[in-house]
Amino acid sequence: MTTTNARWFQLWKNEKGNLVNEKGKVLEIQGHRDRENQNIGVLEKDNGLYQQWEVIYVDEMPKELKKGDTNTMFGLDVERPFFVVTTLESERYVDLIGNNMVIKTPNSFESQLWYFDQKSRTIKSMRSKNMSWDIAGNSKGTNMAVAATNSYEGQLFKWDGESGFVNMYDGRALDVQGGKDEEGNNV
Amino acid sequence: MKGLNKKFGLHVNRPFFIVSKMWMNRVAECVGASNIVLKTLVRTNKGQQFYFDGGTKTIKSNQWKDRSITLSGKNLYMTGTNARWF
Repeated sequence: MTTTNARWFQLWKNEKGNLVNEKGKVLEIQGHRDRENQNIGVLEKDNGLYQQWEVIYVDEMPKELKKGDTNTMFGLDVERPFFVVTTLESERYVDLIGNNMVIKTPNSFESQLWYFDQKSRTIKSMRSKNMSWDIAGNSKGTNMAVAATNSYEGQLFKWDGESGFVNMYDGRALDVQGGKDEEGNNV
Repeated sequence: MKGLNKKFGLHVNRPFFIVSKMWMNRVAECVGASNIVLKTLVRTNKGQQFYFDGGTKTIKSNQWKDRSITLSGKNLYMTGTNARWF
């Protein structure tokens, strides 16, 4: 009679959203960046989202959301165009001047229309469908613009009823700069 | 043996995806039978499918069935299953 017994460095348990080994280390996305081709490694558990995984059996994998479905994580309907209206007194719309995001009086141009793209998980412009909301300065700045879609940190925003549009990574909310309710003011 | 292995929290011989809970919900993919990286889901890509082997108790690739998820330092690789004889 024979039997096989793998060594500890090949043994993983699926435990409360982590894949953990007997030394308590868990699978994590190296560099904590949710990007294509990012390496997956192992470190001590700290409960970061980058260490959390769901085992989904192939026969139970949910279908991809389609047009009109709601992405509950992002709080937005897929490919359903919307305006973004400031709650300042003028109720101006978020618009584009070039690629820069500003507030302007409603004008029925497509530059004031936006939609949530399920594939990239970004908010895209109806005017330029290959471009998405983007925090300028490599996600570190304060100005908003549209840029070529890459789904990096500065392009992922959710709709949060209380705080408005919030960046998924750093929690900063979309804001009219200086709170100035003026035509063409930056967002 | 089939069904859930309670100790490991995984069903035996039932292919699964390892899905990140980060916002893009990318999955782990075994690339070139070696590295494990994050990738956009492609349901038909067996390199993105793994299964729990009830014999060795390891997580194996559904594409390269002689390879298991292996820790080496801080990195993960797919390597040949280290089975021992008793």
